[in-house]
Amino acid sequence: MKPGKALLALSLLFLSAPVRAGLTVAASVDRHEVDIDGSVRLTVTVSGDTANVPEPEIPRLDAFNVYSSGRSQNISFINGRVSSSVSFTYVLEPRYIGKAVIPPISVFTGKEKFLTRQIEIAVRGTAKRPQPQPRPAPRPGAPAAPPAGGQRAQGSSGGTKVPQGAEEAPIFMVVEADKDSAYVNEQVTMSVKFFTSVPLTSNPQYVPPSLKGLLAEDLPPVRTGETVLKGRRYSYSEIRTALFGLQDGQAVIGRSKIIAQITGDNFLDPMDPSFFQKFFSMSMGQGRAHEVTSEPLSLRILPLPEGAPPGFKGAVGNYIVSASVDRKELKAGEALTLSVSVSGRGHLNTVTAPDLPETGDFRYYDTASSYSLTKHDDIVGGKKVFTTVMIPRSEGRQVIPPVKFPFFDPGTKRYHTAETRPIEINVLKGDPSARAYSFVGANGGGGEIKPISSDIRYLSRREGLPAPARLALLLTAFPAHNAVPLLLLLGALGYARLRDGALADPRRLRWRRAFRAAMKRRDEALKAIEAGDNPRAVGVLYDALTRYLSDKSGDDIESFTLKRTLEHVRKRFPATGEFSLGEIRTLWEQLEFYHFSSSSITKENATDLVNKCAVLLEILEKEFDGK
Amino acid sequence: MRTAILAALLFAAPAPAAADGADAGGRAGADKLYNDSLYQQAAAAYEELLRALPGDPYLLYNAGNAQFRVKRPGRALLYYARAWRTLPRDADVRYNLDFALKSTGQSLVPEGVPPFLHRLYYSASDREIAALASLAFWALCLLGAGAALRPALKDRLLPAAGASAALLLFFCAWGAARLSAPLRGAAVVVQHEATLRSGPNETFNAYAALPEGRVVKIIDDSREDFWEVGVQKEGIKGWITRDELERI
Repeated sequence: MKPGKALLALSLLFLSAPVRAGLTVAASVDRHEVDIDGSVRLTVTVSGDTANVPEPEIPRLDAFNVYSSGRSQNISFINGRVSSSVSFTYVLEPRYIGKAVIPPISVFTGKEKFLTRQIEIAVRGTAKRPQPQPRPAPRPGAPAAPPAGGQRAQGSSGGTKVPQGAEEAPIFMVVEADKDSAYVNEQVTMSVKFFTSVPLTSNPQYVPPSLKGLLAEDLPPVRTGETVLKGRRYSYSEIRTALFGLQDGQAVIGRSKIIAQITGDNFLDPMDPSFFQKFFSMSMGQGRAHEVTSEPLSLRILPLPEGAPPGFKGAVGNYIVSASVDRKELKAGEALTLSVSVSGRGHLNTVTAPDLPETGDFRYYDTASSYSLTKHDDIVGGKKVFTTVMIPRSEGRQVIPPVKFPFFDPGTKRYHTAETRPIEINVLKGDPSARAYSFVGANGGGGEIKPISSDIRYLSRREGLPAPARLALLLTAFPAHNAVPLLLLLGALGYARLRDGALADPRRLRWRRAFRAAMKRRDEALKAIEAGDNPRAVGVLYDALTRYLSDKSGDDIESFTLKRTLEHVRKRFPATGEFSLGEIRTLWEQLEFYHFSSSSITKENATDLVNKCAVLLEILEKEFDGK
Repeated sequence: MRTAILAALLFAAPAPAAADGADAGGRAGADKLYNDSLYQQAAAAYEELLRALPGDPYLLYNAGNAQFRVKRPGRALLYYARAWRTLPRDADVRYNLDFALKSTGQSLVPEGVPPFLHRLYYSASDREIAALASLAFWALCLLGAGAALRPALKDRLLPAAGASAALLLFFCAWGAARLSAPLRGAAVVVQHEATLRSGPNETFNAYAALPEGRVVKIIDDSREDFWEVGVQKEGIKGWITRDELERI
């Protein structure tokens, strides 16, 4: 890992913080004692400083059948902060007499898990419960609260199509839907009916079907009743669920299951080898477990027709909209809250905020929503409120134009557009010293005033780059230009070194450069030979030898005679051998000879002299270095 | 003297990013759209101008304003931050950048840092710091060369060269420290919401949703489809699709 990555990872580790802080979860029941044929209403309230609180996870409850009964949400802006509280309601129908426990219910934020306290419920037997039969099913005949559905079903099977041969069985179930095709997001009501003609020892356990391409909303409570099928008296229980297609195509309701404990009618033979297995499978007096399963059901989900009006966002149902503001008179610069309410029949979960009219008169800030779900007469609906903070741009009488909400009504198979009435407000002249807006709660309640900056600043009239930025751009556009001063510095330092060193001692400089200068003259002599100018070559070689000796000795050898030169060399450089001195003598004399008889010199002679001179200079260079 | 002459020449040079006549007209049109509250059209007009002049800080600032008006805090932040990189001392740019950051739950000045210290720290742009370091380097080299060439002036030039060396070190240290600034090597979420995943493709779990306008640190941008980023405020890191981010 690179150091930068390591540092970042470390900083992230230390900066760790929970995603949602300040979440509170509470669970409550409307009663702690209930009859076996009654029901308990469980409410789980999740509150937090965010608009989207997570849903609770209801644990497995063996002692109850659980049905979701709806939810209601309240969202508010208080002191500039968003907070919301969502109540999830469930109907619990007991299955056994005795003490029942609702274990802690958890809410998981993705990082933290919050738990409610455990709740104990005492389930009593009912004094009025008819004994012993024929009122078995989920305690059929003792409905929790069967208003419409119960009345509709009482005394008949409610028009249920009973499968061929099923009515002859003592226990069976039927699953049906009120329609076999529906539009996307249109409600389909699924009915699960459980028939029994034998007594049950406890309320049966219902395992809902798996759903493909469908969303479900429970429609409690359980309806119960009695009916006669082919001369046999049955008690039945009916569980209804609202389903909504997610997308067009085929949707499937999978198999559902009901597990019932019926009175044991089989005598246990103590001599039977399977006696103990059968005995314990009877759950100690709970009777014999009997399981019935339904067949899968298909639904055809239709796409919404063409011709959706502008602004349509997929809302299906039948809705009305209304709008209100928290105040109709305010000062310029202050904020008001616009609440747009969408209510009616339909799957409000999928309803999104309508587009607010784009006018130049108002600035809109973030929109939050809250909704409450109702299930009257088995029709899912309710009310969703979208709350937007807005600030008028100018003073005077201002009008908030109608807010349009297009939706598709599956009843008429047409698109409709509901719209609010325009709202007129009066914007007074603002207080110049005031820099605060009042953000009130979504429910219209008063909130604290939070001072915030008014707005972003206006456009800039300037263009291009300011002078410092231009200068910086030019200075950094070509980084290579920084090599210029560096080269200047290096040159100056080199020159200074030369000046302070070699130039201060010219004799030493001549000494160091003597051989190189002599070699240059040798090359010059070779060029002269190539050019056919042999006399000049001889002259250059003479200069090469005498100037080399001058540079090395520091004296003007050119004005010396041969004899004096040799003596001087012997004295100046004692390490010089006799051979070298002899070679100097020979070369010197040959050069003088050819210098004065230049007509006799040939190219071969000149070349031989050059080679001799070069060899001699190399020998002398070594001997002079050794001194 | 030489530095002064160079500076004068550079000041006299035409501004490289200055708009020509046509651009000025286009800018006036965009400004008018903004003044007429036609923010969507103004934002589009500024975007068009930015294609020709991507480095003009005032144009970036105005484009940020238009994006803020159409409730696109991501792009607004992006343009403000780019303008601020060139104009760190401009009060309007700084104010609007801070405003946009606060509107998305962030802050320009880290918690616990005195604002005046933050202003001082960001009193020069990265390019200006580099230019100052370059000037100090030139001064150091030229003064050193002068001292080498003119031994008689050595006693007067060497202290100045030492001061230049100290300035060079200071500017280099300042520039190096700025490499870890929050908006350096950072990107901003420009889509409505960005999904943070535990790995660089769609099959990995999505464990956080970042709202538009959230500034993230780029950890690894070597892939074309996904970038690895860190979210300092929440202390988490993960992978986000490249399309949901814009590098500041």
